[in-house]
Amino acid sequence: MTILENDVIPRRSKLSLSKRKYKPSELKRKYLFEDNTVPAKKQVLSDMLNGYRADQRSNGDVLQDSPVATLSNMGNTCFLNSVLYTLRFAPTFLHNLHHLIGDLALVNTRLSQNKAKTSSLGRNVGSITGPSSRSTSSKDLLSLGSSNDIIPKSKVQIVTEKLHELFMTMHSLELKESTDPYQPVALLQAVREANSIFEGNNQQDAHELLVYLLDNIRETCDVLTQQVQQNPDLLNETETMPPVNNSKLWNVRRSWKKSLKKKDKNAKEAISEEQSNGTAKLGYNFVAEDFEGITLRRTKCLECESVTERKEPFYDIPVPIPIKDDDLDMDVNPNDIYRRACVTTEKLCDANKYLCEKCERYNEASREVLFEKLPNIMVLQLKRFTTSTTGIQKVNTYLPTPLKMACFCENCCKEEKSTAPHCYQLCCVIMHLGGTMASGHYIAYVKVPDPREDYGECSRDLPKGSLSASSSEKSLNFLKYLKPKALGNSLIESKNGLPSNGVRMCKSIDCCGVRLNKTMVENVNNSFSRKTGQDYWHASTSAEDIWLECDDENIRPITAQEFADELGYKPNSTSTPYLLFYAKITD
Amino acid sequence: MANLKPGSQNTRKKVQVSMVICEAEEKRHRSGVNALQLDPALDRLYSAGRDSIIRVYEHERFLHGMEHHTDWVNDIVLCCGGRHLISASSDTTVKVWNAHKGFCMSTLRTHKDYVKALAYAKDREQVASAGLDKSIYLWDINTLTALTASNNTVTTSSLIGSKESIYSLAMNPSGSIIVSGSTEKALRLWDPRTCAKLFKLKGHADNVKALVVSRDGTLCLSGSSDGSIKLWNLGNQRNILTIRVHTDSVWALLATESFSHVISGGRDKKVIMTDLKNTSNSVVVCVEEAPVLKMCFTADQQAVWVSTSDSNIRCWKLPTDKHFKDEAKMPTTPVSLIPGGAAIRQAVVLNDKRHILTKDAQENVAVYDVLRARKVEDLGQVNFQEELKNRFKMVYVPNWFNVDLKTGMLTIHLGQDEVDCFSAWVSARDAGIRDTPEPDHKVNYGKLLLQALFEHWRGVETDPENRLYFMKLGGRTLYRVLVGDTSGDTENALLNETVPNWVISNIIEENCTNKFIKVQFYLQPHSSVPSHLLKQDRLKKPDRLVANDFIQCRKVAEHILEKLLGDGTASSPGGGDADSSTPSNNGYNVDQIELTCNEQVLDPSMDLRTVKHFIWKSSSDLTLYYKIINK
Repeated sequence: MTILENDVIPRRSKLSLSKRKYKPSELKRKYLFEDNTVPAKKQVLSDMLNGYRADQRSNGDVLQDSPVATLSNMGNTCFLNSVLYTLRFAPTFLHNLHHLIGDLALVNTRLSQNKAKTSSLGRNVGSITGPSSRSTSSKDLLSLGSSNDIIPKSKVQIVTEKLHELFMTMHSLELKESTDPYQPVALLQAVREANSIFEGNNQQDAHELLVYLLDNIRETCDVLTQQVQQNPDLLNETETMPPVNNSKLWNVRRSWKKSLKKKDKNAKEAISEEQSNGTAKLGYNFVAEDFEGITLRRTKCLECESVTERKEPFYDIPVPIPIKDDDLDMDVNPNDIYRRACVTTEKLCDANKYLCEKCERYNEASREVLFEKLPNIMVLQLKRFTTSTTGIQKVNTYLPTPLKMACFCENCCKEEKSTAPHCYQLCCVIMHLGGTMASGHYIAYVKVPDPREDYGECSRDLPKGSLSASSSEKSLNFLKYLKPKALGNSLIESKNGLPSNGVRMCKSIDCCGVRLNKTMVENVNNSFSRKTGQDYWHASTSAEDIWLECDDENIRPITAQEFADELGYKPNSTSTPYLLFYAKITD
Repeated sequence: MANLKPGSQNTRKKVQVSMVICEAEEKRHRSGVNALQLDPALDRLYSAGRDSIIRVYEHERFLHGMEHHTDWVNDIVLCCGGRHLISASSDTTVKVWNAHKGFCMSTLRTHKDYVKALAYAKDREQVASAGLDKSIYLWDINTLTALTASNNTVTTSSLIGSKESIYSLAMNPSGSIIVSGSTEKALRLWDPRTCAKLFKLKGHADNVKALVVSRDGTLCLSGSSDGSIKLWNLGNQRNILTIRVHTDSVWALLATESFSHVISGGRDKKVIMTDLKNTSNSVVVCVEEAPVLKMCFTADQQAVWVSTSDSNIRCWKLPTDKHFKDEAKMPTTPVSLIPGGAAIRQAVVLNDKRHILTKDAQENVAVYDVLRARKVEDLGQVNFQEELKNRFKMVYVPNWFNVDLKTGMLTIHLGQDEVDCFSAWVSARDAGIRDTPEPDHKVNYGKLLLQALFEHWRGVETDPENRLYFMKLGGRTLYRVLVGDTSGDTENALLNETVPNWVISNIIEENCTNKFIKVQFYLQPHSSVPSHLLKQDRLKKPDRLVANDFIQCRKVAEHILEKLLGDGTASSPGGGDADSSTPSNNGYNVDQIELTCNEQVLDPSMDLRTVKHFIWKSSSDLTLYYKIINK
């Protein structure tokens, strides 16, 4: 997608832009109140408001009503908060993150035992760390890694762990029904330690942070896989299963894995996939599996007409935005807008001819960009920030945000819409409010997930206790033999406060899962739909989905209808969806 | 054409010198044959080659080649009763030829991209050319053939309205209608007499690559990459018939004089004749060995010549009524064959940056010497990869030329933009120059080759067979000449105008301003070197040195012996002129200095660029360790 490359916002220029903000000469129009050279926290906060919050509600007792734990703005950190809220509510993300951290702790514990046995050979530490973990100075390790860790932790891994710790804290806040906004300082600190571009109190690009966090977790998964591969005797079978659920969300996941396995293993093993061992399971790279798609670039030489294909993985899809409203035909099905923006055909001609290997020369060619596989969680990044001669500008053109979207992967494009094997459902939106990237504000809208879909039928049901790195091997083994069912069901019924309806749910929900203030959510739903007799969790149509508007320390539940209104067309609005998260639905 | 690469749109358009290494007479097509024309009066067949040569066969025997294009010839038309030939090429030119004598009369440089198709109106002696620049130009042939060196302006009318690259063109003999086929997937029509745009015919689903118009201009046949052939009524602008007899793209079409049958050829390698009155009635004329590019009738119209992306041209008998009624079987062998040669399909430049190992379409492997511009070895059908492995030499010489194979022959491009042709310095000994007083004297490959190429121009004799041309970045050829012809009077005058300045300043004037390429490196003593031999500061920081990239390790050892192990001060090793006869210090001699890089012992004859490329394997500054061994 070469056309999109122009839109990439260079990090350098963005930083300098946000600094330039304070130059008096440039403060001509909108943000006159910024004409203060002291970027104090108070000042920054008023930046963030952008006149948004005041007209929504007063600042008095708002915090009382929050249905979930909230994060406070620590000064230009709405970019962080919006991404954290999004990840927390993104389907299966918390659950998978929990097991990743659990596996890391388990591997770490066993490695330290192995180490103790062979302590005279202090060398295996180096080999365990592996080449992919970033080199860290011992000073950092002492300050950040816990004393129990035998393997030197990379900054990357620390970020992943801090993320999980934050979600644990939020869970416990919800358990205590605390209404105080939490400051995610530890995570932000870890992020800044690991990547200097997030240093300073400037507003940042939420997309950049999202990409960075996902990268971190993916790398952490790879480290884990490596450790297991280098020490295959570390684990026995029960621990090597990926979390599996039977929800209607992306059942394709397992079949995809099968097809990969068939390459080197026989078909029999592939069928009995869940029983088969194989260390790859533990390093179940959920980021790669859930967020990674594959683009297919198909090039046909117009001379010999031979076709070559190239596949590339991707983690989000940039969607170009037309500069003018007129460029967009409002009558076009929103599905088509996104499909046309993503699935493209281009002609390589004039000075940009294609070197055909068969003809051994430059010829004209046609190049299609399609998607062989779209990820389970598809992230669409609307390219609202364009670099022009006057700096980075925001394009506020309205683009509809459909709650349901037809899949545009290669297979689905071939099929009629009604028979397409999958489709997508909107699950999270990060909105950008304001006229520029440096001074804008981010708000996340998240759909309240059904815990049965995220946590039901998990094969990796390890109790909460196994998470702490200090827990001994003995207790781990002991807990492993407990029937998860016996433990799980009762716990969920009693603790989580959500009816599980007999679905066995992974206990990790009680570690870092979302614990929703049920009454409050139901009130919203009931007051809107007046369907008093129906439990929220039994309502199946999307009209009764509950969404949360997460604006730093203010979170309020809204109905799907209210949310749809929020996404609707408003003339001259600078409140625009920026990142769209769609979950794959297969059935 | 490396210069068409995306991103290389250099505003500084330098002229590059290109050389085609070929035989004195290239009798056979080296690659595919894009177009065919028959002169029935003389029984001559003209064929347009992807190897840039138009060949003439009389009674199926090679008569002569017509060389002047520098890229694929895409289409040809024979006009003026066989006296003249017009050709269109991917070198973006249209050329006018004296067909009988076989020389190029003039070159039309109006098109800005590959010229893909020509159309001819016999009654009006008018020809139209079209190509990837979306333009169609109409030419009056009588004007074209009257062009001389002094009277060299032509006026042309252009047909406007095309939105995409044109791949096919057709006109009827009276010149009342012209049709174009393009990646627009539609046919566009004009009246060539008024240049008025008429209409557009939609219906194909892909590029239209072949067109035929009936004599009266009322019917048109189109062949498309969508695999179908469509018959159009131009009167009511309707698609009358859609014929699907091919399993792949249709690339060539012929219609019988009465428009009763269509003969089609395509990517599926088949030639099929179909009855237009009953399209279910079709007969496979032949199955070729490669995709069919063009066909032309024989004089009696009872057979067709077929050309493909392979170099052979075959003549196949056309089916008769008997064959259509299934009463007789089609012959499976061609009536006759004009055999083609093998195109070079693969070329790998060996590490010495002088020899090229090639493999042709018939799997024959050969070795070329770029410096001598000729084939030096025929290895036959040997394993190419194996041969490459056997010929591997651990020696590194910088790139100084580009190779391209688009014509099926080796073309060497010399320039200064992407690859500096003066970057390769080697010793006269390594270059194989005999009888030189100083075998260690450095010579430059690019300079040697350019000198050889232009020697005729300067009055010295050498190998005269190769073709030479000057090309601007962007692929437009400025001038093309046989190396052996460079001393001719007219050629000499033209050369004086076209030889690029960078060539003149470097070659002709012997004013070699080229700088040697430098290598930066550190010298560190091995721990075994007794510290009393070293000056104190040597222990602390390593010496950062700069030397010419062709300096051999022996010279570095000499430097160590002289400067580092003694009391002398450190300086860079000299550029080949260091005096090696200096008495050795501390009783050691050069052979006792052992150099290592990445824990590998270096051969004294290895040069620094080779060490850097094959042993150090990094673009950062090289580090060499030295120690003293006892011999």
